Amino acid sequence: MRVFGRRPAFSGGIRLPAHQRREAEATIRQLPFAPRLLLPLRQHAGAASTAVVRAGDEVFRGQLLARADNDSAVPLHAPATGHVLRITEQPDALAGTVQVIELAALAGDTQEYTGGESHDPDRCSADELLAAIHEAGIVGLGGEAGSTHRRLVHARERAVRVLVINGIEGEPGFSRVPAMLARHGADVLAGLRCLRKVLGVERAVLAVETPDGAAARNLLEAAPGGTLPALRVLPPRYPQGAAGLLVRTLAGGAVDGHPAFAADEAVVFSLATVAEVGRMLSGGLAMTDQVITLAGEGLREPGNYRVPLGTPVGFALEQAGMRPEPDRVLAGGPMRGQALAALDRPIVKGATGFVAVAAGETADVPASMPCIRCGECVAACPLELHPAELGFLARRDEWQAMVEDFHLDRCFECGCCAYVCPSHIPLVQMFRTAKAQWRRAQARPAVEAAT
Amino acid sequence: MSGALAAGLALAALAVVLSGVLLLAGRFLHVDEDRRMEKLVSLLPGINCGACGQPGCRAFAEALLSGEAVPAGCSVSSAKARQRVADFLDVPVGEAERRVARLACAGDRNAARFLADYQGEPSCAAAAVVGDGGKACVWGCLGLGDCERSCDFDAIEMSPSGLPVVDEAKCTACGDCVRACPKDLFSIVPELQPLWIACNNPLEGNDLLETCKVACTACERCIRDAPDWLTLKRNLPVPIEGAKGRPPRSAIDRCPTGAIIWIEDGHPQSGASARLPRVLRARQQTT
Repeated sequence: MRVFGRRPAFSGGIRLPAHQRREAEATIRQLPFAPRLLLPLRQHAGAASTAVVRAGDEVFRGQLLARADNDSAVPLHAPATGHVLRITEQPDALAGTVQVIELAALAGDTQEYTGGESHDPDRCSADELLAAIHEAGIVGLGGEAGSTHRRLVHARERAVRVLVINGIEGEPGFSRVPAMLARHGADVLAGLRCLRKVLGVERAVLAVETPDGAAARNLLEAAPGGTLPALRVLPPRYPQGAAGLLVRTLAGGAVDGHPAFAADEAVVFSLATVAEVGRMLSGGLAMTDQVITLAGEGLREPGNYRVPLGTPVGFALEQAGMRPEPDRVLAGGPMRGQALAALDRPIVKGATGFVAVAAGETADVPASMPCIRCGECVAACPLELHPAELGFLARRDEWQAMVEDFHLDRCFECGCCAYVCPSHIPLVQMFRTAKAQWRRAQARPAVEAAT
Repeated sequence: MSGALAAGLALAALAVVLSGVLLLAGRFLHVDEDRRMEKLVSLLPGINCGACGQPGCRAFAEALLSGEAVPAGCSVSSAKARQRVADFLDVPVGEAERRVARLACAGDRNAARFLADYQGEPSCAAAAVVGDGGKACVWGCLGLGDCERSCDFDAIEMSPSGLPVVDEAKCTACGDCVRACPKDLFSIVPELQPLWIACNNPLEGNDLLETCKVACTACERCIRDAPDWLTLKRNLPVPIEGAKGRPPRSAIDRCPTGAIIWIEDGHPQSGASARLPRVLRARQQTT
C-alpha cells in the first residue's frame, strides 16, 4: 500500500488551466506557397550552410540549395519550384550577418515534389538511414532546432539504451502533439523504427500528457505490430516537456513493470521530429516544410498548419485569418515566446509556432513592485534555482555572481518565476538580459585582443 | 592555587611562543612598500575607472612609482591635480593624448526606421534581447540611455530625438559607456582625430537607406578621397592607425548620407553632399 504519492522527479513548475483537446486541434491544414520565400543559410542551431545556387538559377522543389560543410550544419533544400531572385546579407542574431536566399515561387506550377529515393527502415542499414537523415536536412522540431543527424551521432557515441519520444506540448495553447498523433501516426511509427535502428536501441518510451493520452493509446493499439514503445501518460505540468526534466521524470523508479533507467542512458526526440523522420525517409523527401501551430485571439482560424520553409510570418498569419493590427506577435508560445519586431521575417526550420495576441487578450501587467521574499518563484523554479536572489543580482548587474554562484546558465527561461511572482517582477526577462550581457562581457576580452 | 599558577605559566609560555612566530613572520614575510604610496593614492581621483589602462588607481600609482606611467596618464584628473602628482613625485607631468568616447550611430528617431514599439524594461540591454528593440537597423543605437546612466561624469545626455550626445569636455575616456552599450557603439578615440564614422551597419548598398537615412552604404567615396587615412573594414570606413598628418576635410564632402562626419572643437559636421535636400541629391545621382 502506498501512503504517500510518488515524489515528483523535479519540484516546481506550474499547473496551467486544465485543457480538453478539441477535434479541430487534431487537424493540419496546408498553407499555400508565399510568392517570395526567404531562406537564411542558418536556420538551425549550428554553423551556416554554404549556398550551391546563384541568383537567377531555376530550382525545383526539393533541390539542394545549400550544403553542410560542418558537423553542426544541415543541408537546405528548395521549398518550392521557382527561381532564386537574389542572395543577400541580412542581420543575424548569432553572428552579425547571414546569407539569405530569396526564392520566387513559380506561380501556377503544380509544385510537384521531385523527391529522392525512399528509405525503408526495415531494409536499409543503420548507417544508410543515418546518412539519409543528414541529407534530408532534418533538425529537431521540439524548439531546439539542432541537427538531428548530429544528435544521433552523439547518442550513438555515448551508447544510449532508451529512446524517449517527447509527446509533451512545449507550450500551452499549442496542438502539434494531437495533430501528429492523429495525422502522422504511421510516420511516427516509421520514424520510431528508423531511430531505433540507427541507435541500436531496443527500448522506447512515448511520453504524453493526459489530454493526449487516449490518442496515443489508440495509435499504439492500432499499430500493425512489432516492438511498441511503452506509453507514459503524465498529468499536465509546465514545463515537464523540457528534455532534461522529462528524462528525470521517466527515469525515476520502476513504473508499470518497466524497469528504471539512468537519466544519462536516454536520448530524447520530440514527437514532431520522429514523425518528420518517418515521413521524409519513407517518402524520399527533404525537410522543405514543417507543421507549426498558429494560435491566439488575433487569428480567425488558429490551428496547425504545414508551412513551406521561408514563408514570411505575416503571410502565414494572414492565411490563418489574422485580424487587423494584432497587439503583438510572439515567435514561440505564450510562455517562452519572444515578441517579433517585424512580420516579414521567415519561418525557419525548427520553429514551433506563433501567437498573434489580440489587443485586450492579455491582462495588463501592473507595474512591478519590490520583492517581498515570499518564495513563490523559488518553489516554482523546476531547476531549483533561486530566482529572487538572481533578480536582486540582476538589478545590480552582477552577472558573474549570477552565473558562477547561482547557476544562471542552467536556466532555460521557462518563465515560471515571472508567471507566479505576486509583485509582477519581470524575472525571466531580467535573466535573459543578464545572460546576453554576460555573454558580451565574456566575449569582450577576445574582441579587444583581436582589434 | 597551583592550578591558577599553572594556567598563568601556560598562557605566558604561549604568549612568548606566538610572539616569536609573529616576530619571525614579520621579518620573513615583510613586503617593502614605497612610503610615498599612501600619499600618492590620496592624490589620485580614487574612482578606479580604468581609463589610464591600469586596473585601478592603486595600480596606476604603482606604475607611476616605477616610472612606467606619467601623471598625465590619468585622464580623469584636472590639470591642477596632475601637476600636484608631478610635483609630489618630482617628475614632469608628461603628455598623454586626450581621448573621448564617440558613438558609431547617427540614426535617431528622425533618421532611422522603427518597425515596432518596444514596451519592455526601459533599458537598452533588455531591449536588445527582444526583437532588437524594434529598430529596423539591428546594429544601431536603441536610445534607452544605458550609457547615460553608466556615466559617472554626466558627460552623456540623451537628445530629444533619442541619441546620446557626448560632452567631449566632460568626457574622461573611462570607458563605462563602452561597456554599457549592448550594441558596442561607443569607442574611445583621440580627441584630435577629426574623422568619425557615425554608423555601425556592416551591410552595403542603397537598400540600407530604407532602414536608416544616415547609414553608411559602403560606397567608398570617402576612402577614395582620403586613401592614406581611411580603409574599409566590415563595409565601413575606419581610420588607419598611425596615419601621418591631418586628414583632408574634403574626405567627408562626397558622403551621400552624412554617415562620415568631421568633428571640430567637439562639434560634428557632416559633408556638403549630405546637407543637400534629398530631392536635389536624387537628381544629382541620376545625372
